[in-house]
Amino acid sequence: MTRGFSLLEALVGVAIASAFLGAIAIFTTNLGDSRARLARSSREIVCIESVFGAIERACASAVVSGGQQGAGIVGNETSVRIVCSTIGLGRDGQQIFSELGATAVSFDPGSRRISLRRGGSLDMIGAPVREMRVRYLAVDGWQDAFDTAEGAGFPVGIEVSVWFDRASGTEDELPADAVPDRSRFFRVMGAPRVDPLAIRRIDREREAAREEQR
Amino acid sequence: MRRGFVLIAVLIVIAAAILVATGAIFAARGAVLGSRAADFDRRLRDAALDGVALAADAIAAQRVAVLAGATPEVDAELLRIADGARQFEVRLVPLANGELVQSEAGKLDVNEAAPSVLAKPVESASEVARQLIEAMSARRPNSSVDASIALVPVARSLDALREVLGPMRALGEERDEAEDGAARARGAEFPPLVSLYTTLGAEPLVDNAGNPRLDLVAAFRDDSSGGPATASLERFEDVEREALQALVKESKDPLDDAAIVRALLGRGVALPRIDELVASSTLEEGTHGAPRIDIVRADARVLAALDGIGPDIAARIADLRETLDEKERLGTSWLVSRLILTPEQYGAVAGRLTHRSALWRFRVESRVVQGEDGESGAPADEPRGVCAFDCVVDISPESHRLAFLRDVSMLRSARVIAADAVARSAEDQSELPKTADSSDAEATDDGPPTERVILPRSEPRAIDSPPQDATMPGVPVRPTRGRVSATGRDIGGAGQP
Repeated sequence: MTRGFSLLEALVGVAIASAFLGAIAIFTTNLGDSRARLARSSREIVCIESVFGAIERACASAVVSGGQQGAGIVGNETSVRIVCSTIGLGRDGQQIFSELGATAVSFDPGSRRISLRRGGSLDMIGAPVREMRVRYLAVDGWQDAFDTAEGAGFPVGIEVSVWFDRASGTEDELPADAVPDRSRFFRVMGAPRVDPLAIRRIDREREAAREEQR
Repeated sequence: MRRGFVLIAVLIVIAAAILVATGAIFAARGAVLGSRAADFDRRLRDAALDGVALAADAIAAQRVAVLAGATPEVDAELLRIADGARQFEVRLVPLANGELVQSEAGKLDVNEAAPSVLAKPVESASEVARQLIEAMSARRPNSSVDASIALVPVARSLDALREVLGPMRALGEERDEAEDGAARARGAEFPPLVSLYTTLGAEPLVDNAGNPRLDLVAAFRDDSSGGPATASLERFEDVEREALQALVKESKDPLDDAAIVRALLGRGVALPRIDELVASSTLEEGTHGAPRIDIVRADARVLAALDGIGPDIAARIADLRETLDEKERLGTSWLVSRLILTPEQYGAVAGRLTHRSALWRFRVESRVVQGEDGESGAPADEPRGVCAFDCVVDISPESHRLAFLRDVSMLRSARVIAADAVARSAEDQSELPKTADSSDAEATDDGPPTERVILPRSEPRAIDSPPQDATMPGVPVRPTRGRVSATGRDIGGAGQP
């Protein structure tokens, strides 16, 4: 004699199964989101570390005049090129044991990518970037562009700020006071020495000027 | 049967889960090691750059003494940074001459000296060394002597590296191992080219106290118009002033500072006073003048290459310079008082000689060392490495500057790559007959050095023996009163017109 499930048993079974499936669905969705967030975060870290690492290395042994390599440090708000003294490894268009090499970092608003050029090789950084801003601290304050060929020597340092594109292609202009996702100041070795308090004062003056403009 | 099947299925699922988990753990571990290596690299570089700044500060702190002719004294150990279980050690490493710092004024300037002068020190060196000097002579302006390695084909790059950097091509533990042997061989081996040549030879026009030298041409011109420089001429005695005024006003061609010596010698001014006046005044314009050779520290080969000196006089200078007293070290006139040169010979070469150096080369190396507790500084899975910078500091300005700074941390990697390229090149050409100087990858870089001949040096003579005749045919005259700029990484010297 066979006995089927009662209605109550069937309902309890369906309820348990639904709850279980719902929990699995939520867990799977969260897992996917977390994984995507982690992957994006990881990609951003790798991106920014390669950009910052390249600039940091270049600033450590930058030269004002690179002869055929061009001016030492030249750049604007979205790109910077630094000629530095290092050991050529025979790749990226450099001859082995050559002394001077150039590192260029630039942001392309069209593709929303940062490109990193070392010697003859060009790498496009994977993480989408909403904006990259570069500014240069000279002895008389911050500048949006710098060119050693104009007799400016070295800047005290270079600040690079990056805002990642996390909303898949937001076209809105970035607010002026938007806090960057990553920002670092690179001191140029052997550059004019500026008192940290003076840098702070320069920053305050710049902020005050911004406030007045608003 | 069914129970066994279920058991096997469960085991397979568990095994798969373990595999996935293991893979994830290894991937995470790889990511951690990668980021740790990047972090380690950055800390190592930061430590080395701190060391560069410290060493430059230490040399600059002795500015007045060094500009008066002293050699800067620095400790080899610059920094020890504890970092958890490990320690970063930052130190100055000995250069090819065995010292921690090396005078740049004791070298020939490859951008300024005549090609014939540049060729003399390497006459007895290897063919590669001679070719490098020829290449640099033909390819002016050179950014640095170190950069000349890239001027030869890859197949000979390891030979060129050995000739240019000598024992300084090794870093870290490799250098430690080579150091004992290098110390034994030092003196017998031909010095590397970076010890004989420079691109930073321009003489800073500052006096022994670090103040700008008096520009005699401008001062006497100003004097006639009653300008403010008149006061600065009061430092001269009447006879000195008359001699220098005549020199400046009667000479139509621009002269080098040897003319000051000749003018003062002609009026019978005492040698110590001539040293004092030459150190504090100049006929050249600007902040830097024509390169001068530091006779106290230059290699005898460099001195011998100068017109008007020659090998015998160079050998006598090298023998006697260790015996100088403090007053003699304040100038170069001891060449006359010690009867090495006649006054006439001295008057001909004095504009190309100096008694001091304002630019000093050093190498800073940072690496992980054993902790004070004796345990290894770097655990087995920790990244190891060394970061090194070659640097030249110029202390002639009141705020010193780094005239040369090169990250040489990748030297070892570059050598491995070059050795591989040389080996491949040798394989490609294996069917061709080998030339006498063909390169062998490993043997060339690490094997015994090529046979070299030391420059002949005469036996030291008694100081009362008569000086030899000058080999220089005439008195050098600088063609124009040009303004010489400082050279180096931070003022746009290299490659500038």
